[in-house]
Parts: sequence; structure tokens; C-alpha cells
Amino acid sequence: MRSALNQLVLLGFICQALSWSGWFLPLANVALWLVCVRIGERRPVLLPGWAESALLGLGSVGGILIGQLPDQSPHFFIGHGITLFQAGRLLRSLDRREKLFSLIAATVQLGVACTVVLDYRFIPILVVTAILIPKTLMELEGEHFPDTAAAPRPRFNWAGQVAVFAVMILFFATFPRGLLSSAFPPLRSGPDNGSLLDSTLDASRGSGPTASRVILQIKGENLGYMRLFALTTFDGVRWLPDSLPGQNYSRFLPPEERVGLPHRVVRVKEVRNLGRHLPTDGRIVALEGRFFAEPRRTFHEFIACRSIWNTANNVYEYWLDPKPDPQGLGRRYGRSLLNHPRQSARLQAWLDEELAGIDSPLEQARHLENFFLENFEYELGAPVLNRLNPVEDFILNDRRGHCERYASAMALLLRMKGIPSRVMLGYVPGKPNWLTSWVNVRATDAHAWAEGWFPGIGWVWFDATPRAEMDLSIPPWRELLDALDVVWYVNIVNFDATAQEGLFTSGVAVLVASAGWARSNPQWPGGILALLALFLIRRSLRGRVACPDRAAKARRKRRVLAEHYYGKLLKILARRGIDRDPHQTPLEFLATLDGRGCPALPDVRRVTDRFCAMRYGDAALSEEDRREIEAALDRIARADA
Amino acid sequence: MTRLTKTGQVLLGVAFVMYLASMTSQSGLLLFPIGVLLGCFAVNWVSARKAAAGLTIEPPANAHLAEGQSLAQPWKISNPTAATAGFIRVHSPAGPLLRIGGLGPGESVSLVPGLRFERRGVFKNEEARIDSFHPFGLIRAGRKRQLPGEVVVHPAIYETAPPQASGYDAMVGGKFKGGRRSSSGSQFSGVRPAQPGDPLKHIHWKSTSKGRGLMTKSFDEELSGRVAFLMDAGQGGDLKILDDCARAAGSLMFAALDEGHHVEWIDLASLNRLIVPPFADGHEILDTLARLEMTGDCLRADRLHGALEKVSRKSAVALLLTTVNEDVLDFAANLAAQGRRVSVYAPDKGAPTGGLGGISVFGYSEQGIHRLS
Repeated sequence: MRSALNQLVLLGFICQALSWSGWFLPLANVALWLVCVRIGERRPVLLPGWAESALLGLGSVGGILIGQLPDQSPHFFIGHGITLFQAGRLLRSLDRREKLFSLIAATVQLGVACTVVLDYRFIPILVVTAILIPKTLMELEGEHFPDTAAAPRPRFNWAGQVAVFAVMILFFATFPRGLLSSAFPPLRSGPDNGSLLDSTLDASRGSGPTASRVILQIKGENLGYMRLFALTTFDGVRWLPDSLPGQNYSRFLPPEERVGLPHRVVRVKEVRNLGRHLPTDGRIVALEGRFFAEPRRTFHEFIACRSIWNTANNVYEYWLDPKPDPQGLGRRYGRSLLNHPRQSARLQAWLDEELAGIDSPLEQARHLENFFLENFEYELGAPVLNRLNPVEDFILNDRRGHCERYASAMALLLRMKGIPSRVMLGYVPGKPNWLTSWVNVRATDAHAWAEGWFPGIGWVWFDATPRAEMDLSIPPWRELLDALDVVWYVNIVNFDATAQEGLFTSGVAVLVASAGWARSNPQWPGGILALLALFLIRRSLRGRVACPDRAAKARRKRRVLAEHYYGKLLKILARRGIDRDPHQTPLEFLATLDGRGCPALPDVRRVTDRFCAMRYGDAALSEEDRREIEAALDRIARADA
Repeated sequence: MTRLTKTGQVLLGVAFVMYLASMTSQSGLLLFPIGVLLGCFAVNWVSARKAAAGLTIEPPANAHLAEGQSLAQPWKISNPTAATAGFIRVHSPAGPLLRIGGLGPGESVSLVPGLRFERRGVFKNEEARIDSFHPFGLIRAGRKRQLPGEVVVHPAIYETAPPQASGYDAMVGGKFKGGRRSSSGSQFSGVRPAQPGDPLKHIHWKSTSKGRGLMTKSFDEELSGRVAFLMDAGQGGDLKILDDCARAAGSLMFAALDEGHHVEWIDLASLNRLIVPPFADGHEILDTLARLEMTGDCLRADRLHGALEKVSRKSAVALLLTTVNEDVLDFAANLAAQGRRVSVYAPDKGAPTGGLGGISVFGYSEQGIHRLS
């Protein structure tokens, strides 16, 4: 269990388990590791070669099968096979080649974590990796060399560890990213998974533990609701996406015309939640990004792309029109946005009664919005509505539910009053993080609202969802983790060729500025150089001049210690009447002890051997050796008593 | 000299595969584990080179061993630098001499190498290399030192019958009995009347007391023969056979010396002659055989005749061969025809099987010599 290799294998198990969502598999893998290591230490089991291969196959097949379950992925199925294979090998001691293979297998599983654990959870994995890989290599190499009292194997060296860490960071920062971050579009378009939002609108319907995960990070001022896509067709029960071709606008402003326009930068952490849409909070006039293809601004003011894929830098920027012109609908399209199945007389009567005396369509819409806000309750997981006429059931009977119901009801009522409407799905940005000023958007921030079109005004949004009576405050530690997450994403996960170029450019700028400062203040660099030269001279002299003296001192100290401990031993034996003749060497004296009733003879032998090694062989004495000698002397003395 | 170890090569391959994976998965995070591995390489490179450059070795003075033996004297390894040196290996051309776990700053250790020297040869201490793999075993940094001394590994000799000798001369202590009598020796032969000049201590008092005048002890004449070994230094091109040949040569020469013969030795490559008087300790022979290097194309008629001119005309000739060719068979036949005693020692597998007309033929192997005809 204390073996660095075993610990690295455990880390590999955990990394592999993180390729599945949830905590069950990581915990199960940790338990598996514990059991196997215990068995391997106490009663090793030698599995035949075919059994180990079978474990590899079994784990792989299991990985594929369980990967078919919802929220799981069959990717990295071989890694699960490797987990079982490694577990089988933990049951016995390995030879050097097998140990090297285990190290490589664990490293491959670490590679899985590099691909699937992109958030701050990767930081502890990285730190432990940077400690365990060197430690394991040292452990493997140490097995080739004897660990004797005279020349003990070197221990884990923190200076070397720091150096490894420094090289790792340097390599990460300077290694050319040419092939790592270029935006290769996938050969096939990804699925339009816009409906993934549906499950997160009502968290009680299965958004599960991933709901609190950050999926977007936005930088910008006065952020509005982020539109993702629109539902425009109502069949009486459900709202469906646009069935008409609509109008798409793919021409954006050139860079020189974007100056001064409201600007947003968005980092997408979970591409799969977006389907083929990019969330925006207004009418965009320009868009930049490298992880999507053929973006279009649709009639409903959201951005649809031919495909979106994951890169090391899922960032897009957009510029907004600060005063968008009211949009015309067109006769055909305007009519389609009024379509709805005929509603019951009861609902029509309720609507007419509720809006009696209000003539302006916009005021009617505001009245309905306020009506919902004041008379309804927000509730997650509300009972299922009438299957045939759910909106009427919601408005007239149930009067509780989550945002989808309010948006749906609002949009239907607007259409019943002759106002073209649509249901918008997207996200509501929260407050900026206090540390980074980036706004985190989580899956729980998904929202639905209604929008109505008014002549001369254009689209106006209505959020009829009452405020939830739930604690939405974010604890400080969570904010801190979010901030860490942003820093991690901004500087590490999204560190691509552009960021690298920026780093080099700023590095060069710092150097140029430093050179200019040094020219104007020559005394400072001169002093620093002189100090550096002194340090180097001292360091070089340490090896040549000072060390022999230090070595002699160390030798003297060892001899004194050796004589001290051996003298103590002789005193203890003398008390028992076992005296050493002056002409006897320590080993000769030891040889005579066998038949003289000497107590704790193995301990006496140990102390004598150590004395000879230190006194005549210049062997080093570690703290551990010292404790061992003292314990042996103590045992001899007690045996004597 | 700094090189990747096998572990280093494997892990460099793993790092490259991870780089390919990072391209296909578009994950820059994979550069971190690659960076850790490369960091290990960098630290290993610096530490191992520093350790290899800083360590000092003090080997014992010249050591003489026989094949299959180990050194008995310790080598002292010191680390005068301010940094810990670890995973140290001292390696000689014969194999690894020492493995040391670690040495702290200013520490030293004296260890006896456990290496068994299986082959004869001369292993100069200056050819010993000190390697360090510290701390990860991915890179090996080694450096040679200008160290004095050498380890001379003699061929392992074995008991065997002495070679045929000729040209017997009187020699005190000679193991062969001559037809004449001598006033000194170790084999008492009888008594004779004393003559002027006989030493007083040789008077045989017991027979003198019988009244027949002063009687002096006489001894058997002691003779020793001469054997000239002409050794082929590797015409066969097989190092193992040359080593077997050297073992056979050493064993025969020591058997000859034990018999009290003069031994002359010439290797056909250098044609340098070595004369060893009877009862010498034979150190020169062992030393010469240890240093014998394989040289092809030496078993030629001209070299055989050249060698023959350098040895005593009375000597029996023992031809120690690593292979047999026409030249040497003609040479042996000519010698035999001239009345010289000739013996041929050839490897078991290549020895001539037919009779060679008055020439004794022996086969040798790794462990012994036996007569073939």
C-alpha cells in the first residue's frame, strides 16, 4: 500500500472511473484497489496468464455495456479493462517488466482524465501525478541497487520534485500548439441536441448531479437573457421548434465596424449542451470563434451553426446591435406565429374577463405577465397536467410549475389575443464571480420565457415565471471554486496557440522593458549580477574546498557515535559478566558469545555489525539506523535485567 | 557519455503516443503528464551527469586473479561534491563491478566487487566506467577515470600430465635420473672413496668407520629437460578456443616446470620468446597468457620456422594450436623427421585424428587435455 507504484495504480483507477458520471465508479474502484492490495500483501494470489487477459476483456466488455446506460459513455472502454487487469496484478508481486507495464498502464489511464476531467478537479490529479510518477520511477530504479547501511539508497528529493514540476509547466507553456488547437471541423455534423435543455429546466426531472456544473462563462456588461433556440409551433400539448424555413442572416460586420459596440466573450465548457446553437443575448452583428462552422443568425435572434465540436479553446465573441430596428414579420410568417389549436370556451372566457378594459396589446401582455407572477407558484416537479389540454389545466386549475409551463401558457395566451409569440429557451446569467468578474452559467440557469411581437416595437420578452422560494445563494467556497475553475479554463484548458503567442509577446515585452530599465538604472542589474557571481563562486568552492573538511567532520562524528554505541553495548554485557578481552576484535568477541549465554544475541550482532560498518567502513548513520540501534540496545539491556 | 536506458526509451515512446493522443483528442491537458515525464528526463540528465562527474574511485593496486575468481580487495568510492549521488554502477569491460545505492555529500564507501572474472585478460582500471542513473533510471551518465592499476586474470590452469621433453641437462633438483653419479643431489645412490676436494660434509661416516678409508656419498645425477611451446595466437578466430588453448598452455607449462624442465614459450604472432627456468614460480607465464590477444594469420610456415630458430635446438617442441592447417602439419612432420620430439595440442573438435608418424597428438577442451594418438 505504501508502494508508489500501487498508489499510481490507484490514481489510474480513479482517473479511469471519472470517465463515467457520478461517484459510484470512483468509489468502487478505490474499494477494488484496497481489497486487491490487501490480498496481495497478506496472501498473494497468482492468477494464470489467461485469467489476467480474461480480466482485460471482461472489463472492456463491461465498459461497453454499462456505457450504454443514460449519462454514461462507452468511450475509453479499454481503460476499464486495464483497471481489472491491473487489479488482477495487484494480487501478487511483479517483476520489473511487469511493474514498468503497470506504470505505463496507469499513465494511460491518467491520459483519460486529461481528456474528460477538464475542470478544476484535474488540479489535484495533476499534483498527485507530478509526485507519484517520479516517485514510482525512483522506486523501480532503486530495486536495482542495494540499500545497505554503508550506502543507503537516496530518498525522495523535494528539490528534484520541484524541478520536475517546473519542467512540466515550462513544457506546457512553450510546447508548440500548432496541431493541438487548430479548428478541424468534424466530418459529420453533430446532432442538434437543443432538447438537452428540457431536462435541466425542471431539475427534478433528471438533470441530476451535473446540474450545478458550469457550462458557460461570459464576460460582458449588462447581460440579458441568453437565447439558445425558439419554439414556435404549438400543437395543443407541446411547443415545437420552428417548422418554417424562416430567414437566416449570415453576414456580419467586418472588424473595423465593430468598435464601440457591446461586446461579449463566451467560453463554452460543455459543448454538448448547446446542440448546434450559440447562446447570445441580443441581436448580434458580428461573431468570432473557431469551434463551429457556418454560423447563421436566425429570424428568432439566436445563432444556429452547421456543426459545433469540441476544441481546446471553445471561445466565441460577439458584438451586439445596441439599438436594433424593429423587425417585420411578413404576412406568412406572422400568421404562423399566431397558429394554435382552438382552445376551450372556458379558457377564452377567462382570458377575455381577465383582460377586460385593456386595449393595448402590449399592456395586455404585461397584465398577463403580472397575473402569473402574482397568482402562481413556482414549483419544481409539480404534478403532471391534463394530457389533452395541459395549458388550460395549468392556468385554471393547477397554477404551479416551473418556467416551461409559464412560458408555454404566456405564449399561448398572447396568440389567443392575436399577438404573434414564441417560446424562447436559453439561460439567465447570474452575478459576476467576485474574483474573476466572469459570469458563470450553469445548467441550473437554464430558463424558458415567452416573447411577443408588437408592430413598431418588435419582439418583447415576458418572463412570467414567479420567483422561486428557494435558496439560490452560492456559498463562498463554491464561488472560490468557480473562480478557480475560470482561472483554470482561461489559463490552462484554453491555452492554445493564440494564448501561447500572447504569452511570448508579453514575455518579450517584459524583457524589453527590463532592458530599458536596466540601461537607465545600471546600479541595480550590476548589483544583482555581482550577487549572482558571488553565489556561483561560493557554490563552486563548496564542492572543492569546503567538502573535504565537512567530510572529515562527518567521519569523526560517525566514529564517535559508533564508539559510543559499542561502548554502551560492552557495558551492558559487562554487567552480565561477559567481558571482552583487550586483544579481541569486535567480530572475534562476537564469535565467542555464542556459547556464553549472551542475551538477545541477534541484537548484539546487529549493533556490532553496525559498529564495524561505521567505525571501519565509514558507513553513514541515518536517523532510522540510530533509532534501530538504540532500540536494540534497549532490548539487550532489558533482556539482561 | 550520456545515454537513454531501456526504461527511458520506453517512456519516451509513451510520451510520444500521448502527444499523438493529445492531437486526436484536442486536449492540451495531456501535455502535463508528458511534461512530467520529460521533467523526469531532465532531472535525471542533470543529476546523473553531476554524480558521474563528481564521484571519485580509488581502486586497489594491480590485482592478479585466475579465471572464475573474484577480487578480494575493496574499491573506495567517494562523493566529494555537495550533492547526493545515487544509483551508481562501476562497470569494467569484464562486467559490473559494483552497485551502490547512494552516497551523501562528502561520504565514501569501500566495497569489494562481487564480479567473477570468467575470462582471462587484462582489465585496466582506467577502462572502468562509473555510471549513475540517479534518480529515475531513465538516463545513464557515465565517465571514465584515469585510474592506475589493472586486474590481470590468468587462465585457470588444471592438473595435467607434463609434456614430452628432450635435451636433458644436469640440473640440481631435476626430476629425471641420469646414468652418472654426482656429489650432490637428493637421491642417495651409494658411496665412493673420497677424493681431494670433496667437501667434508659429504663424507659418509658410517661406511668410513668400517676402516676402508674415507668414503664420500654419491647421488644420482639429476636431469631436467627442455620443452619449447609454440603457440598459435588465434588462427582459428574463435576466442573461446584461444582461451581453452591458453588454459592448456598454462597447465602444460606448469606441469613441465613442476617436472623441473626448462620452458621456452613463443607465440607465433609476436615471436617474442619467454624462457622460464625450472622451478620458477611461473608468474611470467601466467602474465603472458593473460595478455595474449587473438591474432589471425599467424599459423604460417615462415612464422613457424622463425619461431623454431629462436628456441633451443635440443628442446622438444609442443605445438599449441587453435586450428590445424597444412603448414603446421608439414612443419611437425619435418621436425619429427629430423628426430625432434614433437607434440601437437589441438582443440578436441579440430584435432587431426589420423596417425602423424611419430608425432604425439593431444586434444584439449575447456577442462583438460587427453591423448589422441
